[in-house]
Amino acid sequence: MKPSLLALLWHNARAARARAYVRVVSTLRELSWLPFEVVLPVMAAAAYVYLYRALDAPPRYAGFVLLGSAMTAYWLNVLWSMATQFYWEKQEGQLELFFLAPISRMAILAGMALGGMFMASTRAIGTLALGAWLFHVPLGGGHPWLALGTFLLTLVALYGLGMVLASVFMMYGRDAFNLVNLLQDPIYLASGFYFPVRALGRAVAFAAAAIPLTLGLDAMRQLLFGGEPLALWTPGVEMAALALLAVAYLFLAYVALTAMENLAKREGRLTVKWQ
Amino acid sequence: MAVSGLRHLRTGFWLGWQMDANWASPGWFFAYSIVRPLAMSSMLVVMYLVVTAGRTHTETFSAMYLGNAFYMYVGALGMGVSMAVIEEREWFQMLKYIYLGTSDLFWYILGRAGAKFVATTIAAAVVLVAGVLFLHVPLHAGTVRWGALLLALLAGVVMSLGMGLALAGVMLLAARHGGAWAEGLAGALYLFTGTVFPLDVLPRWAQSFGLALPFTYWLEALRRAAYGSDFSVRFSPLLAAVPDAELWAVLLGSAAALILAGVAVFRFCERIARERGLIDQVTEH
Repeated sequence: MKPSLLALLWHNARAARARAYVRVVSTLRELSWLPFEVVLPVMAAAAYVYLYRALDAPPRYAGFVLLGSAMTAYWLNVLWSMATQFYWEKQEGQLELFFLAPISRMAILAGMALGGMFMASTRAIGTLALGAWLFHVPLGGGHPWLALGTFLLTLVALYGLGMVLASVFMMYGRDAFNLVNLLQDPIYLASGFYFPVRALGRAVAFAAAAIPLTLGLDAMRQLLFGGEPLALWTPGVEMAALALLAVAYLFLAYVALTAMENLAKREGRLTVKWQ
Repeated sequence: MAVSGLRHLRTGFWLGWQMDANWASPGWFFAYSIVRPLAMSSMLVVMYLVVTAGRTHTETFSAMYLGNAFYMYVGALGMGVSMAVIEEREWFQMLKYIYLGTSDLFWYILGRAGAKFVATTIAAAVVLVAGVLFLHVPLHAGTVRWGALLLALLAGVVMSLGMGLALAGVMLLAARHGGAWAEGLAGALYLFTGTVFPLDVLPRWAQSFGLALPFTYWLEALRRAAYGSDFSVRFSPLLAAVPDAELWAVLLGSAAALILAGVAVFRFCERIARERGLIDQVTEH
């Protein structure tokens, strides 16, 4: 007998919760990592804050740096714990277990995303709190609730992108690792993690808007630190664009996952390690 | 012994190069090797330009650009060499076979460092040439003191290697999260040595800490060799107060001390790791 749609949804929601649970538990179990994961981004942020201070930049630039540093937690999580996750699972012999389980692969990806958001949030909140205290950056000004809404929208779109990348990189080996490594730092530049992105020119900023962090950071900068002369668009337009990106990436993830799974099965690469 | 060591060094270099580079064609690997450093340099440049409205003819800009370009060696050798242990033991699970295949991990690690040195030198050269061609970084072949620059570079490479070897030894004893220590050290050095800003803007306690770090003197020696002895009078009065002779004495003395300490720590940790049976431990999830 075929299960009802409700039973199917419940079944997959449990699978997603189970995949997320592993990440929540590992975050709390590896507390020794937390100081590193909070202090390291603050040290990187400190170098950029002092660079701005050496240049007599307006104080809000310290806030830009801090916001960007906090958001690096999510970008790194999307790259290393979403995009390359199926590669790691393959290396450790787990991937075939996901494919044997009677659940949708999208449920696994959704669980990875939810657990990843929790994992990255512990680091991002710590970075923001410690950085704000060290560099006297006021974070409550402007429109904090709208900024929070933008942040959540950014996360949905960003982890949607992570799901697309996870699907695409599923059948790759070391190339995936190296390509993700390559994506890490250039996106800090292209998305304007530490400066208003329009400084790169409208054309570059427009292209970089495909990465949800570009629009999310630009909107949050405006909402938290006041009108920015170098803003790309108004926060309202950027929020609408983020909502569109979220829908598009989730749909693309579904299509890419199905296509790449079929391709990987046909070429017998689902269980190939160390290639 | 020395001949055997050199053979292992050469093998380690070749293997390291293959591992780093053979996943892509040479052209793609070259592009891959320079995109990241160029992106990081460009990010600092844009941060600078946003605030200064495009002025690049300043001491701060020149010092920031040069410091960031050469700091790549600290990351590649200080951090990259130690990560080689994690790669071999945890990711590829080949460390035990290296022991079976060659008699000395030390020379193999040095060979891996050689491959990273070559890749970093190419990346640093591309970043510096781009700075001269497009951003008016005042590196003029006629005014650069090449001998001093090369000696300072050599000292920095030796110091980074010493740090990398010590960390590689620690990695032999540490679990998977050992990589975070190397990353933390590289991040701390980037901040406290004033790699991209004058040390003078740091709080007093951080200045004192920075002045106790040999890498601070390394960056200062590179800047003096590249831009002239009086460069720091305008960039960082704190470091300008250090006479040339004292600067070089600290730099060369630190290089000798760090490499000796690095070798000693590596050998000590390696012995402990073998005694405790940690060479083939796998601690990844």
